[in-house]
Amino acid sequence: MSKAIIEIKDMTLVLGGRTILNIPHFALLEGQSISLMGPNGAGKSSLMLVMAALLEPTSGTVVYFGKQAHEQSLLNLRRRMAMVFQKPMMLDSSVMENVEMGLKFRGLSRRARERQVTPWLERLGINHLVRQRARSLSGGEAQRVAIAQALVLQPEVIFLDEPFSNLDKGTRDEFKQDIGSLLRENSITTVMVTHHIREATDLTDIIYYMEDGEIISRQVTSDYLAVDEFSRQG
Amino acid sequence: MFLKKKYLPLVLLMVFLVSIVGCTQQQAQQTPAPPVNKDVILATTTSTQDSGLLDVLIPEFEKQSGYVIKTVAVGTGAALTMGQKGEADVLLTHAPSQEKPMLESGAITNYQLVMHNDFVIVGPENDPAQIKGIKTAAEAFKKINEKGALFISRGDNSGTHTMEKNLWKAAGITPTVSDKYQEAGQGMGQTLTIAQQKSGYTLTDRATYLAQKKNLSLVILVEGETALLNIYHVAQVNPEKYPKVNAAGAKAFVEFMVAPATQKIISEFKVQEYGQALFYADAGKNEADLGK
Amino acid sequence: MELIWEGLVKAFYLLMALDPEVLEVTWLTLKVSGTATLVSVLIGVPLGAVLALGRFPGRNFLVSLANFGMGLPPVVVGLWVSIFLWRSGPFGAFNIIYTPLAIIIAQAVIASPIVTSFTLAAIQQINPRIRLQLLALGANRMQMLWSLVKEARLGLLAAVMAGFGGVVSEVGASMMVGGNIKGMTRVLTTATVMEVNKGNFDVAIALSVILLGLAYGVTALLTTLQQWRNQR
Repeated sequence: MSKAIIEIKDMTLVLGGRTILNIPHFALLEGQSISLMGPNGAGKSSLMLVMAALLEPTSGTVVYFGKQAHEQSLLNLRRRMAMVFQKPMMLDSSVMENVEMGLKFRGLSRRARERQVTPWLERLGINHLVRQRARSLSGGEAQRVAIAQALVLQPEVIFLDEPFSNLDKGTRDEFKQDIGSLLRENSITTVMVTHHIREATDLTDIIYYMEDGEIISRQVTSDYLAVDEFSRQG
Repeated sequence: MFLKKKYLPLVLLMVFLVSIVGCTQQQAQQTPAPPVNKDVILATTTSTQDSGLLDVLIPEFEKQSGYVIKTVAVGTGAALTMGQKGEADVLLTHAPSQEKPMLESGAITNYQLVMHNDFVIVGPENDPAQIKGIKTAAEAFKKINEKGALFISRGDNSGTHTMEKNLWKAAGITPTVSDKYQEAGQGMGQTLTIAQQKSGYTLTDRATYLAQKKNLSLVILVEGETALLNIYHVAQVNPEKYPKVNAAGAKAFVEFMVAPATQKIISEFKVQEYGQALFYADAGKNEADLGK
Repeated sequence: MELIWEGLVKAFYLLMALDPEVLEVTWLTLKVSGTATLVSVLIGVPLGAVLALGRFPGRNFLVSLANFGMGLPPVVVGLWVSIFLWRSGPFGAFNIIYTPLAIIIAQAVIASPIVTSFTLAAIQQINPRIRLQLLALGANRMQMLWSLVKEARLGLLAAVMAGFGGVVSEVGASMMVGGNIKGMTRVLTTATVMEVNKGNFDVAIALSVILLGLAYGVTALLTTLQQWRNQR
């Protein structure tokens, strides 16, 4: 059995007197790719922020890579993970500067950054955008740039918060396939928040349903596929 | 090309700022044979600066001695206070009644008569208080007070203000600030402008009045009395009392002010321009003999 | 009317003739106020950024102090700086009073709160989600600060302009700590006051025109920098 990358025990998150999250136990295993689903306000994004070490829980423990949060540097921890936000926030500079920013933070030289960035730009088909101002991109372009921004970091875990929500139907399908094969090829542990069952089944292996800050069910997506096939035949 | 264009604004800004800083460092003064402590702070009255006399004398002194004079032109009151606190090295002021006590208390030393001119009472041409031709200033002040005419006082504790207060005392009047007696709280030039704009009377030194004449319609109404003499002295701030002062530089300046060549410059200053002397050189004379 | 016209003519003449005295005063003004602005940027930008991002006791007090400091009367600053720099004062031994450095100090005191407040406002205006994004990308504290300062650069240039405008135009502090000494601490504002005292209104008007020109020139340069990228 593969080891847990993130393990949550008896964790609660209370903000402004409201309990946002209440997770007795949850584990993300190495190589797993999971989806978080559920209604708005169920706590999906908050759970993801906690997992990404961007939000501190009110109580309980979170173990990252076998060590508790307070036993290691949060900065180093964050530098092993990457996140794609729902609405990508670009800094007001060029696309290139945005894509390589995380590598720059990690102290990579200009040449090393270029070496690492170029294949991803090509892979995601955004090579022609590098000199544009990041703020002038269309929704689809910005989404690809945001993905590139995360993938160039070669993270051990990637978090995707509704990564396809800004795209129209046509681009979405095409993009979804791109991302799917990208993640699989590189066997990156993935956590994705989504509202679309198709996205969850196409891209991830397990779906967690959330409601009112709690995880209420866990489904393996291959079961869905079976149901899906079945209903189509029926 | 891309990078160049991107960084150009930043580069421009840096060049601009760096050039500014770089240049502030080298405040070069090119003077012969630099003395150990070059800076000499001269506290003086505004009239010597506003008349332009210092613009002639200071460069001459700096050329001759190698010192650098930092002129702080304030009212005589403030200039004397600077001396009193050891903030200046040498004083050029015109309020003997305030200077004498400082000499006695040992705050200043090497006190030398330099020059004089005189105070005059100026006012609007139509002379509403009818003081024209009155022989003494005290009587003229009385008349202004009686007629309720507007008088603009310097009100800044300057040498001129001191003289004015002495004259009011002689007239037996204690002026209080009202709409007929206003205090400007500024230099002579500004006070003259205010008197001009408000059609008031004021007491002024002749030098500043002549220098400002081109902007003024005020006329001289009372002049010539011995009591109206405006006497300038130079003095060193006493180094025994204030060890931080530049004694050598101050001494050099005092000596320069009473030197024959300097005295010649003073007596000839702007005579051509105004047809009369702005200052009368008095070095070596007895103060009591002036005006006789 | 005549006076105004004469003043403008004189200004033109003084500029065209490159009158060495006027050039000296103008150059000194630019140097002194420019340096003071630079110093205030070095103080105000980090301070404003820390105030914008930090959470620590006394922060609100410091913020209100910076906002209050934007309106510091130059004469008050001049007086206090003089008291400290006088020979009898705590820093008297350095012989700073009546030097350009004294004016730079006083003007930096005036401009620093202005730059701090503008920086604070500029950084607080940045979308908080950008901070989360930077954190997720693995920015450490300094990298976060620098990225946000870069992001706020339009606002920071406004801070520089406000700071420079504030000091180049003040007369009270320059007069008091500088003493209006010819060739050393005579800047455009103090020279203007002096020429008015001398009754040389035409020269005073000329100097005022030059001051306006200088202030506009610097502001225009900074505005060009500020709008550089937006216009592309």
